[in-house]
Amino acid sequence: MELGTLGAVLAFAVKLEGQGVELYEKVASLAKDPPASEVFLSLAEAKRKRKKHVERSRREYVNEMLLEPIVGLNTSDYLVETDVSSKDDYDTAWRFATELEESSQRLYLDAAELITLPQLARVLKKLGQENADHRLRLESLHKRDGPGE
Amino acid sequence: MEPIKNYVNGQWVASKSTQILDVVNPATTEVIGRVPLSTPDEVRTAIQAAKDAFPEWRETPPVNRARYMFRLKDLMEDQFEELSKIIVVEEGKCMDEARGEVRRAIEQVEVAAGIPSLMMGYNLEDIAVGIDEDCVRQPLGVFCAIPPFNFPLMVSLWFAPYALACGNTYIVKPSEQAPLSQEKLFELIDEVDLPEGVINLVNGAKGVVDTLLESPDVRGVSFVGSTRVGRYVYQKAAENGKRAQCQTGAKNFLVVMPDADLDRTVAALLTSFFGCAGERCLSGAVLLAVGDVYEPLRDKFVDAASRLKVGYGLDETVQMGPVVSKRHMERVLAYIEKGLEEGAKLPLDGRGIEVEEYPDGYFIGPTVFDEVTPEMTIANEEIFGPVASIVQAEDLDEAIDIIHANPYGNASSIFTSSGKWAREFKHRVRCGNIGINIGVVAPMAFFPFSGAKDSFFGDLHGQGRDAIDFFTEKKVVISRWF
Repeated sequence: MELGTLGAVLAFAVKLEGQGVELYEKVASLAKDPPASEVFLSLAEAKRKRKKHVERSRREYVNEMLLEPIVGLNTSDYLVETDVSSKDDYDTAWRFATELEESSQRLYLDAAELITLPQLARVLKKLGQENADHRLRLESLHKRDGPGE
Repeated sequence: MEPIKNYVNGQWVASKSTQILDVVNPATTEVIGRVPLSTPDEVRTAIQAAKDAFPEWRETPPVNRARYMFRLKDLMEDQFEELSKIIVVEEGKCMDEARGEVRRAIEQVEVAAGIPSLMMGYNLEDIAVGIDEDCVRQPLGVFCAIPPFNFPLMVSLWFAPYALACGNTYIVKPSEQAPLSQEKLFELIDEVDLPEGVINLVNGAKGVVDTLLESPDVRGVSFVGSTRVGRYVYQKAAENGKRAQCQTGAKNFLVVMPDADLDRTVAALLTSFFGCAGERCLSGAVLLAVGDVYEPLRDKFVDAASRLKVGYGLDETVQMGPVVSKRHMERVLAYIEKGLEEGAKLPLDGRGIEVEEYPDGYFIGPTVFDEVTPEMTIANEEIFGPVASIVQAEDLDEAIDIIHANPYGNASSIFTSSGKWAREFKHRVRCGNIGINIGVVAPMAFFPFSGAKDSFFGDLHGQGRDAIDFFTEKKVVISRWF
């Protein structure tokens, strides 16, 4: 689906952040040890805050409907698997989380280039940068634990 | 479905009126509410409640009155999405348009919260030896607002926060076509917990308006709507000794000069002509193409307009919603017919647009007329829909003459890279709101919402410092102590 309006882009971002909360909570339950679980729970909390941040930015910075369409953003380029079932193991769940961070980062940075509201573009860039930090945390956790069974 | 209630003296009260109208979702055509046409007695009860509340409310220190505004702002922020959705469903906007309306409404409350500074008077010692003179601002009593359907939440807040913050008490009569966002707003106002009677809500139509205008206890009225009704309200208010500010109809001309940045201009024009389905007093109506910009402008504008997605505004990908009612849709379609009868060309025809999921909705697609002449009906009368008329002018002088020949004077814009042309336009054009490379000339809450000629009746506009002047009177005190 094409994300041709600001409302559509931000609604999709809110959806991704919400998926992130659910995913991290599930990954936390599959984690190998309590410190790892804490990392995932803190990432879930971060996703909750980010969801509110996007919603607040939408409320405060979008004062007018911009009819000039946004071109080049499509949900199919950013959707990833996030549905962790009880049959999935920790490594699969970890992989889902990393892919979600990567695709969210791309969405935010791509959208920031196309959005003409400077305050909103700044927020999106910052969120994209945070995704990069989250990926680093996930990778360092994976290095610490090594590949799973 | 029970009719919505009035809010009088701090209580939700069911109207005893037997005259009830349906409130219809213009996209789905479902009945989403029922609104009573309140009786004159019910209006008088609300007026009495507001009058009784006035003495204590006017003694409340301004800084305390301001705190209620802060509380209202917080509640509106908390319910931001819900308020936006209600606007979409009752009026037909798209979600981002509705969010824009809610944001602008909150801004009014924010500005009114500055009342301790805004309401200050002035003084001078020793106007003569030992004699001082002060000028203080004081509230007057009960005021009322008659907002329109097209910004059903925001417009009452162009007036009510300032009136209340200044120490007056208030009555709102919402549009009977779109009353549900006011109902929600008053649920939040109820939570703010103002003293009973300080602000009241009475649903209805002309009968309610007449009772308000005839009451000797109502000191002033703020109206937004058509010129025909606004003139009526203004005259009746004057006959009954009331202050009045009536923001009325519009026919807004957007002038594009040969040196305009066409891509950025067309983007602004799209929002101006087709934002909110053209149902706003600041919408572009006539595109005045000056000189040889005409052909490239027309081609780009028509192309861009043809790509707009029309549908139900709850879908975030939709860019233009329906018009508010079947009756209004028929009115706009009649204007399109008129344009064709009078010889205009129709490069983009919005009639008969199909929105698959909502086949009965009141949809009209973006419509662009070309080869329109200034005498045509579609170039002169307010259509209030997504219909643009392209008129050619040889030069800026001719463009300004065309603007001045029109009876309205709400807004006008010029698109140009020339400071000289911009300054000349700003200086000469007799409209209340002037845009330079701006398509929708919407004044912020801390400025007056201006208007001229048949677009405004009154002396003081809504918003900003004008609002403080409208809702207070100046009292001069000269004092000497022996």
